[in-house]
Amino acid sequence: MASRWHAGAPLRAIALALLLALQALPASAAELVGRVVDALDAKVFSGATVTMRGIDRPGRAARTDANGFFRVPDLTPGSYVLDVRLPDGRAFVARLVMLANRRTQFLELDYSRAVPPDDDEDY
Amino acid sequence: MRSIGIAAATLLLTLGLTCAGTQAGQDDDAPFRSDGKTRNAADPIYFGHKLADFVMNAESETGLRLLPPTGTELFAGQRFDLRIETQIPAATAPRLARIRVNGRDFTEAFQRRITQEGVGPESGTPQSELLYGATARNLSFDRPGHYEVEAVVTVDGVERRIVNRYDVAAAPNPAAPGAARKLVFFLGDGMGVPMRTAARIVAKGAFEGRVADTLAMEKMPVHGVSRTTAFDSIITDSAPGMASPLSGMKQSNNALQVGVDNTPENALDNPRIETIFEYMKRAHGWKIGVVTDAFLVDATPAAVQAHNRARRNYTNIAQQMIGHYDDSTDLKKTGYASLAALSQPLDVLMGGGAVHWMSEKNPDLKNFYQYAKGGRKDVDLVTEVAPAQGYGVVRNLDELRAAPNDRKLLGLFTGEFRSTSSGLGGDNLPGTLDRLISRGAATIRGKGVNDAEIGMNSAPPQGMGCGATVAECFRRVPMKTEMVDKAITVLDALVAGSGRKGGGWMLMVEQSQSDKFGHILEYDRAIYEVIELDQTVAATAKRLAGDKRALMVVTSDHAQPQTIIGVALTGALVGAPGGCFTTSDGNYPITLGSAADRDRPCALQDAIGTFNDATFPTYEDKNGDGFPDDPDPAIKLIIEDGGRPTYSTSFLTNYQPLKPSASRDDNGKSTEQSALPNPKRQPEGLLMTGNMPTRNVAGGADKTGGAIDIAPHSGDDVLVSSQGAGAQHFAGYYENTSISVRLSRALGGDRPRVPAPAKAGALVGW
Repeated sequence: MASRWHAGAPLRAIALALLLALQALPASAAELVGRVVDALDAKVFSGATVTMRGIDRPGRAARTDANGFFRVPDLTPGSYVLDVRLPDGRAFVARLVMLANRRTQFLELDYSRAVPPDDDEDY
Repeated sequence: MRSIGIAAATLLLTLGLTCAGTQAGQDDDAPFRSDGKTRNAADPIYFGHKLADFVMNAESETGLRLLPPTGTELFAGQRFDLRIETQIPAATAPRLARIRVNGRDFTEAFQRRITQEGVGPESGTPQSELLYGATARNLSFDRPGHYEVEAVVTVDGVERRIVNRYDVAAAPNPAAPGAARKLVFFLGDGMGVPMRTAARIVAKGAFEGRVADTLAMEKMPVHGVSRTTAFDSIITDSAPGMASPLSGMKQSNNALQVGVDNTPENALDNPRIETIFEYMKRAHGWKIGVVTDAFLVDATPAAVQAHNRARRNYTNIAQQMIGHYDDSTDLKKTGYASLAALSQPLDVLMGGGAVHWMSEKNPDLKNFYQYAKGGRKDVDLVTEVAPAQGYGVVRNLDELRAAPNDRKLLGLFTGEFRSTSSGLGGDNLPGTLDRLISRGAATIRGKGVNDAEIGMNSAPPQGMGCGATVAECFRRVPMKTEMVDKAITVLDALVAGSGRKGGGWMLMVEQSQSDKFGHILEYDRAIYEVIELDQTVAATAKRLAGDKRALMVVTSDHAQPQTIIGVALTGALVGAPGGCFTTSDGNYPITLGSAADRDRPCALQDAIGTFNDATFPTYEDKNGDGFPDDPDPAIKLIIEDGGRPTYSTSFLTNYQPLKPSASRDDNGKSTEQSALPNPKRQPEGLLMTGNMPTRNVAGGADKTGGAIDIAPHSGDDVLVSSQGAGAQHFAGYYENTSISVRLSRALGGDRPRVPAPAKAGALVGW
């Protein structure tokens, strides 16, 4: 049943084409677009601050707009820890891998996913 | 450059499918999930400097995605909402370029439908026009087959493309020979394999290594294994843990029969999917019901027919359960016509949590149900709505028995309201062990219903509506067997009364406290819950034994990180001198029992027999009710947890359920003590250092909020056991989303081969 979706082209040729295509992609300095929300409380947070701690690279900071979005341009690919502070003072930590082969990367920072449930009944 | 990127994505897709396909087994549907491979959200998995993120099938530059998620396992005729959206704001308003299904253009039909639905929640319009987002509601694929849905959106002058693939099975056909006409779907919440094993050892015993008898769920002839991973986490909560199996769509934690979307400000406008319960009621006029010992609107029962991105929207979910849409209430009529057309009201529903159903002004809420505060502010569903919709409403066992069989039934029973108990909460029915004690059928280390330690021989705290004593109120809460027996009687009568040819019913039975007691590390109570579920399975199997069109399935939404570590001599535990947690020099004795430790400060550890020193427990059932008469016999089973808050344990059963941690006081208020044990619970016990996130440990993660004082779920696979009509479809090792399609096969949708794309049907419902 599954084989219906298999490609007919030889595997080796596809791998070669993929390698060539990846070489043509931008190698560094991607833009992060993020959004700070709480899916469980049905909220988007404007005025939240997001501070990025790069591992072995400088940190960056951003603030969310009216729809909860923030942008951090020219990010070096690699791993980051994000400290998110909501306008009401609540805070949480999130994680991000900026990939090398991307021009833009999107990240939804959802409070309800980043912290344990507020209540036993949310388990 | 962008076109090269798209080409690369396409090649990645092709390569991924080819590689995965060569290893795919019969039940492995990986090839249908792995297209795209854009990585666009964070995942909380952190190993050193390597961070894993969340793979999602979305176009990378705009976050363009298509819902339902690719690979969603559908059956023909099953309704779903088709949503197309971007996640990254553009410079100018994006617009839909085209949508194609197996190469056939549906752009005009989609646009027309969005126009008909209008701007707002019906079509899921984003607040910012710089995001694209549109949902066409209640569509379906009309025939089995493979479907490829392609959406193209023009964003700032560039066409962005996304493709999802769906494998659509045959629709249920109850007229088919041998098709199931009655389904009881048992769900042991948090019931991992160790808890099934524990229940068998405790309830059935063993002799010379052989079990004296097996659980009813073990006697079932067909067993499978289900993978419980949620859409966005390897650990599922109880919402997608139940929602995904009943609809075939992997869902996010906290989500009930909906997908993700770019309008997080509205939890009710997300793209929805029809459950197999809803389908059978809508398409074939079947009757549907839920029975639970949790509060009725809890995630597991709600997953049967409610749709909400936020499982905690309880008052809204209660209205969906009985189909009450009104603009003056929490569930509006305006903007949610498509929801009303999709969500099918339950015919039988029983559980706890009257607070989500009754007005704050209803005196029963306090006097009968023992709520000191709370209640609805908009409408009283119990007095103003349910009777008018034809439901009989019952509050206790006597009323349940007396309720007419030919009428829809809403049962709301009293919860675990003892003010001396913590951890379960007044929304949930008292646990099995506690109900048995109230009926005089069990004790804890000899203490029974009239002993002060048990806390039942006193007046209820808020009024005597449910009884003169706590025990009397608890005695009137039906056991699971009594609830299910009545539910089946009513469903049978409703089907007979409908006069519809090919009629049938589906009942979901949840044992909730197997999970809720696991969370608070009340292991012995959790075992009693599994035994009660098994007794219900046995009683139902007996009742349906002569019915060749009946199907029973037993599974779990997820496991907990519990495991059997050995046994203990209860007398040694009771007699232990303590000293495990108290100390004279200010340090806790973390390492105990070493050769140099002459004082052996913690006798408790020596009382535990592990590995080859684990002999057989001595539980007794002298009254023959199938439950141990006492959870602390001479030798008892010991369970421990792989995920836990800091707590102390003497391995004995608490006289009443108690929270393990000190992070909240008796009123639920945070005390900032999450790293310390509850001083009221076995303070003489062993200190078990927690491995859950904490907020008051120096150097810990900066997290505020969150209930971090209980054990979590685990990511283990769970068993699926079945017997009866179509049970054979549940053999195998599969995603939990596969359960919906397997049910559709058992309900007559059996078909050996799925047609190729060229022979597939069309997207219908416009």
